[in-house]
Amino acid sequence: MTHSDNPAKIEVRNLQKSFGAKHVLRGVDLTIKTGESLAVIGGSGTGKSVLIKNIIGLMEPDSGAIQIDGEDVIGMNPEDRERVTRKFGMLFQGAALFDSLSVWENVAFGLIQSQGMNRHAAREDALAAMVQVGLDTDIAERSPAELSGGMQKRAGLARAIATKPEILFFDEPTTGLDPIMGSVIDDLIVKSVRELGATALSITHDMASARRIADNIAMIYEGRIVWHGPVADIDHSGNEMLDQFIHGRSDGPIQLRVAG
Amino acid sequence: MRPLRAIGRGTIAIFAVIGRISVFAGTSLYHCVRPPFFPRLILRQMIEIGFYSLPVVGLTAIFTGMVLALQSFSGFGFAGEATIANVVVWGITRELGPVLAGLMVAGRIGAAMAAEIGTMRVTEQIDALTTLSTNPFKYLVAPRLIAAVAMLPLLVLVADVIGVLGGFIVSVYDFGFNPTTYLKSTWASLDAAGFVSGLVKAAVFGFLVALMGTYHGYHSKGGAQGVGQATTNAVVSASILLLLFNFIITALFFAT
Repeated sequence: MTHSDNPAKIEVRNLQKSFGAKHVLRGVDLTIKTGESLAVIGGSGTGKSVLIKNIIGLMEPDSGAIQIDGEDVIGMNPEDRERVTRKFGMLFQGAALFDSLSVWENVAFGLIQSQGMNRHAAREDALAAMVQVGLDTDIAERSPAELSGGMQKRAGLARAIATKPEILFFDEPTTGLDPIMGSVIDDLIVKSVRELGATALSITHDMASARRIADNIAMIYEGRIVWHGPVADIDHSGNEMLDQFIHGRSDGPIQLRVAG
Repeated sequence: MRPLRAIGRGTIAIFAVIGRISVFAGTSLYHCVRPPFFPRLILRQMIEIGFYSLPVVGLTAIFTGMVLALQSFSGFGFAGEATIANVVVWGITRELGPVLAGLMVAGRIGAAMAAEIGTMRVTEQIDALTTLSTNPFKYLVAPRLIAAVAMLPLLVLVADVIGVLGGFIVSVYDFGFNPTTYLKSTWASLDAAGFVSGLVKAAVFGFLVALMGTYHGYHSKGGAQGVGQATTNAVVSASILLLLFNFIITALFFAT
C-alpha cells in the first residue's frame, strides 16, 4: 500500500535532545504520511524511545520541530496539547496497565476520562475492544496482575484502540513475548491499524515484527535516521548499517561499546 | 577554592530541590482547585488515609495519653486531678496528638503513596495516563492532597479524644481519681486556641505528608531500588518538614 500522496500526519524536523553530556537525538528528520505504518528500528540506546516520547509529548526536545496534522506541538499550551493527545493511542512495552483498576476499567479509561462517556456505555465499548483483540470478556473484572504477558499486551492494545485514535504508537510491541504470541500481537496490530484507518509509528528492534507491521522502515543510529524506505527494500538497501542490523552481525560500521 | 566550590554547589543543589518541590506543590494546588475533579478517587484516598489509619493513630494516642498521666503524676507528685488533666489535655491537643498522628501517617501513608506512584512511574503507567489525555497531577496527586488535608484533622480529633481517654484510664483506675472531677478538670483545661492550633497543624501535616509522598514517588527512577529510595525519602522528608512546621505553627499561635 502506498501513502506517498497523502498529507503528512507526523512531521519531525531536526529534533535534538540531550541528557547532560549525552547527545541522544542529533537532528532527526522524519515524515509519516496519513495512513502509513512506519517502524523505527535500531539498537538499544540509539534514541528510539526518546524519539517517540518527544513526539507524544512525554519529553520536551532541546530544539527542532514536531508537527501533528500540520500543527506545531512544541510549546503548545496544555489545553491544545491535550486536544492533540486525544488523537493518540499507545501500546507500551510492558503494557503499562493500571494496577488499581480491573481489565475493563483499563480498556475503558480513555473513553471515561478523555471522552466523558458514562461508565455503563464505556464498559460496553471496552468489552467490544477486548473482543476485537481476542480477549475473553470473562476476564473483564480481573486485575491486570492476574493476566499473562501476552494477555496484558492484548489488553494494552484494546486500551490503545478503544478511543478510536487517529495515530497509534507501539513501543517494542513484541518484547518479552514468545515468537508465536509476538506474531499474534503483530497481526492484531496490523488488523487494528487497518480497521481504524490510523497512522502508526512503532519502535522495535525485532526485525520479524517490523517486517510484519510496517509499510516503511526508518533506521536510527546514534541519534540520526541513517536509512528510510519501504519495508520491501530493506534486504537490498545497499546501506551497510541496515544490512548489519537486520542480519545481526557483530562486525560492520555499527560498533557496540562493551564496558570492560 | 575547593571548599568554597563545594559549599556553592551544595547551596545551589538545596535551592534547586526547594524550587522543584515548590513548583510541584504549586502545580498540585492548581489542579486541586481546578475541575475536573475525581470524587471517586478522593473518597478512596479518604478511606485509605482516614479509616485505615485509625487503629495505628488510636493506639499511639491511647498509650501516649496513659504515659503522659503517669509521667505527670510521678513528676508533680500528687497534685490532684486538675493538674494531671491539664497536662494531658494540653499535651495531647496542642502537641502530641497532631505530631504523633502526623508521624504515624507519614510512615503509613507517605510511604504507600511514594511506593504506589513510584511503581507507576517506573512501569510507565504515569506516561500511559498522559497518552490517555489525563493529567497525572489531577488524577494522582490532587486527590491524595485533598484527602490528606481533609482527613488528618479528623484523625487528630480522634487522637485527642483517645489520648485524653488514656489519661483518664490511668488517673481513675491507677491513681484512684474521682472520674467526675477528672472529666470536669479535663473540660475546664481545654482551650480553644490549643485545640484549633492542633487541627491547623494536622491539616498542614496532611498536606506535607501527601506532598512528600507524591513528589518522591512521581520523581522516582531506576526500578525497584529507585522506588525503595523514593519511599525512604518520602518518610524522612515528611517527618522533618512536619517537625519544622510544628515549630513554625506553634510560634505563630503562641509566641508573644
